[in-house]
Amino acid sequence: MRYGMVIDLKRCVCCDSCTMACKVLHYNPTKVFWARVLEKEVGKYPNVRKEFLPVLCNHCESPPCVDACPTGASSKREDGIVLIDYDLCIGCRACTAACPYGARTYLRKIEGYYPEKCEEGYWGICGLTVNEQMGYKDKQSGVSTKCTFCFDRLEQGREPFCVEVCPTEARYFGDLNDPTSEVSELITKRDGKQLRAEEGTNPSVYYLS
Amino acid sequence: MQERTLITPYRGMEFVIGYRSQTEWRWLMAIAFATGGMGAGLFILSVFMNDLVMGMMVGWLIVAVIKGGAHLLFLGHPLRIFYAFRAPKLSWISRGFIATFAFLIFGGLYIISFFPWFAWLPWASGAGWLGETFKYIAIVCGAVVMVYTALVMAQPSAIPFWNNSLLPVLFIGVGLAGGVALLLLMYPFVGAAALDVYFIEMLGRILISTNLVLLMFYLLTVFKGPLAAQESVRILLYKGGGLSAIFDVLVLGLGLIAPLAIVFYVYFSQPSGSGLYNLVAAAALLEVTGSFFLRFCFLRAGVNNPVY
Repeated sequence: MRYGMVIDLKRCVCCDSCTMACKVLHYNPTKVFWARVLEKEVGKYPNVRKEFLPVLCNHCESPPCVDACPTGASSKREDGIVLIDYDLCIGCRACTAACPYGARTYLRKIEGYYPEKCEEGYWGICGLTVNEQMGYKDKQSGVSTKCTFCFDRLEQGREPFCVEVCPTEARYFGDLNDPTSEVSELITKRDGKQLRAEEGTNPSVYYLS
Repeated sequence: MQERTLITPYRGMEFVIGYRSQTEWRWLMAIAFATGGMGAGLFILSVFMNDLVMGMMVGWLIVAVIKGGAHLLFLGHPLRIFYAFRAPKLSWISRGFIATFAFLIFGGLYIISFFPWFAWLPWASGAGWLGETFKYIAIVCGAVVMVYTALVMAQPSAIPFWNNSLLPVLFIGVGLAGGVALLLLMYPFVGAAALDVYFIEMLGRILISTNLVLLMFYLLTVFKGPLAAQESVRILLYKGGGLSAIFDVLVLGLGLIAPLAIVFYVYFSQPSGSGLYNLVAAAALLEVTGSFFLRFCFLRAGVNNPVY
């Protein structure tokens, strides 16, 4: 089995639901976005349009981040998901430098969105809302972080949250090794492309244009 | 043709397709890389200078204290540093850490054998098969310490400017030149009996000339590469490139051309006494400064290709 995702660029409208959903589910602190939608302006006035590219960790089959990691904190599972063991990560950021997709973020310091707030009662710990306190309690600073394909949801038989919340159903998720799966059929029928295929990483995320 | 839009994002806040500057490895890593190369280079050269104890000791201390300290300050979890032993099969950082550790152990064992308090050691003054073994292990590990940082940078293809087989060669040359510079700075403390200044200066002349040629060849090679690599060269060399002032002045001008001019002047004019020392010390200080800023500029000039 090899988990993979297919993103239909014709359906993406850059609503950033995936960005926010991922952030909310995983309690990612400020400045950390595991899923983002990149924009690019193309054309010349008056024929200008924007192109959108949702990006996340590609969970590559030959991940350069795993090769770069000196502690084995970054590793690839048998189902293709690349995960980080935060207890082994020393924060050297070699994986961040090695990733050609900018998928990794170094979590320098865990900060709340309202650092100036310090009202007694509601905020509890100054600078962190009650929700942030709950969400950040297991977070470690000084480590690299990235998308996990919501592996814990997969174990419950659910799809990654970004796939579930997309209002235009631009994302599909499934087994790339199963030729009859929806993702495999989409890649074949609509000529799905990988980002920077020339890097030789063989990403598990395909794009349909 | 890809658009040449250089964006220096705040890491994690990037929402635009374009070239992305590497922003994680900066001053501390530049210090660690530069001092590792210079310290190991100094140690190796000192061994070949008839076991110049002061040189070996200073080289060892530079690696242990400055390089080690810089790495520990940089890491997010420095107390977990020994986890870096775990992945030598794949990671050059792991291999480099093991080599650094071995260098410090075996180099340290070799150095202490020259001190009177350790005359009881079986390998006192580096004698015997044990002394020779420690010496050569320390030399090999020192060579790895000099070169592994370049291999860490060159291994992934994400940053085309770094992904070049000339980078390790350049770093070895710069590391040895740094070692020569530090040896020259030690001359007043060790004296003419221990150190042949003219020989060291000749070595410096050869190394700096070679490094200048290597650097130019490196920049020329990457400039013919992917657009991201060309962008890196533009950042380094061209006015308004962001790093051009530092690179052109501190690395090329003061770090390579000025020391080269000084050592050639020494060669042709053959000064002596304090005049000789002042000149070579000036060249050495400039070379050490240039060596550090070379690492810094190379790190900061790393640019990723756009993802799309």
